[in-house]
Amino acid sequence: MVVGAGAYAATNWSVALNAGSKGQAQSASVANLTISAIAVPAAVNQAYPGGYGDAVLTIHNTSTAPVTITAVSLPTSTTYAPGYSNSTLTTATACTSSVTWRFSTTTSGSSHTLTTPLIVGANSTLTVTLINDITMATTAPVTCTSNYFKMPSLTAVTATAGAGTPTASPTTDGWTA
Amino acid sequence: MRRPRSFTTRWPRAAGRYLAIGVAAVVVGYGGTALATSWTVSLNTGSSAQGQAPATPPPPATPTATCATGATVKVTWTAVTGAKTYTAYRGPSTTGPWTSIGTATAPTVTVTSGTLTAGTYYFAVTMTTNDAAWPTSVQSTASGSRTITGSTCA
Repeated sequence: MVVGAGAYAATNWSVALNAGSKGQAQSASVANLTISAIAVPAAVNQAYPGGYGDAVLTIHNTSTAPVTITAVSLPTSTTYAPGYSNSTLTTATACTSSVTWRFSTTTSGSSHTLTTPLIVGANSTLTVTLINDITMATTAPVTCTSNYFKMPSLTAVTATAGAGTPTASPTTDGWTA
Repeated sequence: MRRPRSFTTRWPRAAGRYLAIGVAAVVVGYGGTALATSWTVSLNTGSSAQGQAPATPPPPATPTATCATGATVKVTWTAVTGAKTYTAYRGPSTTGPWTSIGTATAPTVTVTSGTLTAGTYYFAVTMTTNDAAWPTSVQSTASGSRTITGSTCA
């Protein structure tokens, strides 16, 4: 990932999406990162009207090199959580329409620095609980109780090179502004 | 000389899919020195994380009971984001039985002199949220004890 030369040198990485789109690597390749919602470990802080809650997820790095994530970019503060439905999780539409990311702004892609950079090792999965980074509106209906909800898509993350020792999994992190 | 460069890639959104991230990076070297790298990594619209709502809102923190003038006890606790009202309780042990001593919007209740008969008391608190349909929170754990003797508190 690092190129030095006596003259100008450049290296590009283009990485394919899991959805199936392809990228090209001119002189190296970096495999996909994958973020997944998970139910275990459970959120320590669960969201209630006017309060905050945790988001729990995994970050999977299929690259042969570690990646250090330093910040996340959020959707707008008016983009609410979609419902979540699978074999174990329930859907509560009225509830999810009142849930969004904490500190999100009206600007899509607002960047928020993680309290601690996350280093995801090569070919590794890191489980992360984002502490109190979900906010639930004061008007959230009682149908929210005991329900899970899928958070809206993050729009980007910021990563840097020069990763050190991978973060031990599971871990906790988050953003405070 | 190090000169990092970064830029954002804009991959096509993949509706209905999630959990994927597109990455691109450029590393540029000058003069044969080591390089720094930064990426801005775009995500699919469906990248996911989840939260959970409790059946019952969490309890406020354990209150603190302090003696005020005479046999007055002041019960305070840390304010809870999202709380609308609090109800404080007293009991003869850390497990109750509990009797309400007042409801407040601020995280403090004062039990005035003469309200408490002689004895030892513990205090606890619950909260309601802004949505009245939600159940009252779990009750906090009990405070330390205060003992009322005549017109004094200790």
